[in-house]
Amino acid sequence: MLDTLSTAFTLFATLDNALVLLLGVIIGTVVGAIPGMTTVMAVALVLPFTFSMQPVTGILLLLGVYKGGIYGGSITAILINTPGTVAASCTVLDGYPLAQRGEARRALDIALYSSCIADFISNLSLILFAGLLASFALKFGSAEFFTLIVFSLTIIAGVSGKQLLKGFAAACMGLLLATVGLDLIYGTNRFVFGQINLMSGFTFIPVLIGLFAVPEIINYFVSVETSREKSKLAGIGASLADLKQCLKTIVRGSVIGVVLGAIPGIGGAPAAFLSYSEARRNSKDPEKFGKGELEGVAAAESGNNGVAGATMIPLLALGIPGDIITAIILGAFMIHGLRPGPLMFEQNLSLIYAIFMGIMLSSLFLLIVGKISIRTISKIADIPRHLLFPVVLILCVFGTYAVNNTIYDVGIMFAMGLFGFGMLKLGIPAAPFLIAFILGPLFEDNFRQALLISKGDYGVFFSSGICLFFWAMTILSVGILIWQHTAGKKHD
Amino acid sequence: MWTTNKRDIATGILLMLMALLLVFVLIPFGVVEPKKVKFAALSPSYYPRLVGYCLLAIGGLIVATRWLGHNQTEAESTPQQSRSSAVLLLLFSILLVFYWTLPLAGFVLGSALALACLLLLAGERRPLMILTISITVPSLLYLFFTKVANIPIPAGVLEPWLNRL
Repeated sequence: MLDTLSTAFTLFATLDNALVLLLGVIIGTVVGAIPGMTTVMAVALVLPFTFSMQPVTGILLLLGVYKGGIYGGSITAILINTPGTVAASCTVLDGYPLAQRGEARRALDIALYSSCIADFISNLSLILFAGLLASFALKFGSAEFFTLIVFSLTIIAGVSGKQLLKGFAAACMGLLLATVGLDLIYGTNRFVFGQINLMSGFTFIPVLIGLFAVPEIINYFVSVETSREKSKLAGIGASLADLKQCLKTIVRGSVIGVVLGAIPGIGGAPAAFLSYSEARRNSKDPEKFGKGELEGVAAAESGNNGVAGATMIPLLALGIPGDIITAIILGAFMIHGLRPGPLMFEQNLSLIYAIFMGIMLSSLFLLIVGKISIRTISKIADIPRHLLFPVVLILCVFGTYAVNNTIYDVGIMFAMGLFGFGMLKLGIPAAPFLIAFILGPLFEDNFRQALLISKGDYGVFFSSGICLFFWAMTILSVGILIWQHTAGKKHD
Repeated sequence: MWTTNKRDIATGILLMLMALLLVFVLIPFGVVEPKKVKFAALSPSYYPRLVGYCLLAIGGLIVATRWLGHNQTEAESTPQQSRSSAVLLLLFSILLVFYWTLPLAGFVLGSALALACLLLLAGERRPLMILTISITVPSLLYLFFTKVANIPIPAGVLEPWLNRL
């Protein structure tokens, strides 16, 4: 064992590895902060550069980009209401209201601390529980996935605030928008109407940007002149007391992220929403969520960053990539003649330990890079809005185009922007729409797949302990939300 | 006077109309059903139809609850609204022209012109500031995406010049 650790340390402890990891975190943070530039895109772009590197160095570069990218998405989500990545979409809910209140720096600090702590916990879980979590994750079939998503969707009631019915209506519209495209089981068209672009459905980023950033910009243009300018939005950073206040939420979010991250195919966004939902449910002031609650930012960021290390669990322990990024990393392993899985733990244990060491160091680099970036980037919040918003709109256009290299997506972004502005004017909350749009495909696909496997027997949704656990949690969650809603009305 | 109650009733009616349009027009004409479906829940139209009925019920509930409820706070109205409508119309026109001319003008020229118009609309009156931002922002974004991220961005009429960079 000591020999293996010593070999691993020799493999890891080189200047090249440290520099490449740092570079990866910087690239990831910058790319993640640009709307439209996804973490997947950044990892894929960096991949060819790893071919000539040593296996550990190359894989650490990709991991650095991955971790930086997940954090970077929160920066623009907080500052300009435009999540850089899908995983950061939940951060918008409280991050942007905090920035509007002049507390952007505080929100960015908490997002960074949450990200680093969650990342560290996630990495630790990867090292300690890889085998255990991988075997648990393998027990998830379509029915278990479906009940998990049902539980995650209960957050819709939470983020709707006093507009509960309108929130449900928004969720229905989000679910419907997610059905556009080819049917998963039969491969037939749904709401395509002869448009080839619609066959693959709507891409997340144009819808995300259109729904959150564009209505805010339109609303700025039509708002009253006197209420326009606000200065010194960046404000002061988060205090130790803020961190202490959020610590419980961060740890809870990290655990949620780790568990969901270990399940192949879940991703950061559902983890962030579930963590947010739990934070709101456990909060003494749940009504503050969605209006600029620091714990909301902590919950969202810890949830999505908790996934980062854990997605490596099925990859390293079983050789199964949990998402697109880990699939690219799997490709990098294979290019270097390595095949992740149980056999790798026997044949290349020192290499795995070297990667673990690098992963732990990445949390520290994330903190350093994040702290430096906050100091410079948070100045964006001080730019006069009449200059910032038109520039942001153009940035959104470039970013949206970059996702699929199609002007059609720009049109979708504008259309969603108008739709979002309409929702704003009618008092329909946008967050439930977004949550349903993101979780909708998982919800429907797993529902139908489970029924297909069970030959139409609905009993499949109650057939395992995991299903029953999530049903119980759903009932509990809905019960508490209804109680809170009625208690709130009585109080009013 | 437009009250929040009236606005909510209008919202509820709008949602119901959307749901009816979905169930009776969009699903029958927009969802291609396979010839043979093992059971109803597997049909491609089952789930959107279910969501459509939910939307109809929610719209109905909104109308019913607001109909029975008391009139709430009055929404702000008149002089500012007419100004807002004019700005909104102008903004939509800029975005529409920008979108339709993007393939021809390209991202740099199209964005520069749109940015100049948007800055003017936002209240910026310094010509040098408008000119500087309108030229530098699209150019920098173009250079970043094409040279750093290796993502081809349509340059439109400026392609011969931008390709030399």
